[in-house]
Amino acid sequence: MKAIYIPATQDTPAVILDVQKGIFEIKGNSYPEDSAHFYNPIIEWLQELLNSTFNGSIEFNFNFDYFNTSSAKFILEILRILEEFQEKNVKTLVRWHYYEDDIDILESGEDYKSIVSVPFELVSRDDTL
Amino acid sequence: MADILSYLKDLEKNDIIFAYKGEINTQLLRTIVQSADAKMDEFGENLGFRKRVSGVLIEILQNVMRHGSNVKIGNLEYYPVMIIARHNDEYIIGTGNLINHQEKEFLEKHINKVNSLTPDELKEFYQEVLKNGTISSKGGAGLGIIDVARKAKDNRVNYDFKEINEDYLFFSMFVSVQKPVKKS
Repeated sequence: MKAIYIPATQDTPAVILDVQKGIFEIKGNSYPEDSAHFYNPIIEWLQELLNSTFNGSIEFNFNFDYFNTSSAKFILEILRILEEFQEKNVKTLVRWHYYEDDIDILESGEDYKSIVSVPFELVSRDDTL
Repeated sequence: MADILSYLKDLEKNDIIFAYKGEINTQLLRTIVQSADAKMDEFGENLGFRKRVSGVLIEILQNVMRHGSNVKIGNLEYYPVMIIARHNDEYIIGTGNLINHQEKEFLEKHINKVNSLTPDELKEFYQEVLKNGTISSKGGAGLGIIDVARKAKDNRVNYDFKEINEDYLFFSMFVSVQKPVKKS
């Protein structure tokens, strides 16, 4: 499948979805006015992979600085698809990164972890380094 | 609760970080977020706190962008207004815009519900709305106000409605944001 590489802007995150390299990552800020426009291609790509013969494993890294509530709904949609990979016996792991003093991103990770049933790790990082 | 215009009058000039009257678009939102962050950095606020204030600011301004356009009534043109102020180590974010009676009904009910909830109940309500989709016709606003309340001082969203005429009301909304307390 063709990889997706989207560079970050001030209000949209960097996205890498690359099966060959085994990289699945969303990183940065996410507060576009039209979240559907930004996230729908990502969701379609994941759906296509889900329906393919893909039998590797997925480590999906969410590495947000901030996201707004309309992005929050699409993040849940991505996690729901990852749940389906898991159900199809594709080994799936979600790694949710947060800056160590950012309790809001930590708490939203905890929210998602309790909503979806997919292996889910909360990983702290130090942004002051 | 006072409306935003009389509140603005009572603030010390030095407290105000940013005040704006006019239509808010994406470009302006980015500029406001950047300059508010730079200002907070100048005040020595830590990154975690700056992120929280910016988050509340974005959510509130996008709410105004969805619902608040300028309306001309008689000779008067009503524009959305917004302020960011700093007072006693808290950041106050306020907006005002015209809404109709139907929107008032939704907002009043929703904010009153949000204000009546404990932090744990707010968390549950947030997850419920996140899972079950939008609850307002223009999308987003339902979850946005819950998110703002979770980050606001005393989990409280202050508001005021002033009737302009039979079609429109002026809706003011304020929150205070304090430094988050780290859970041990």
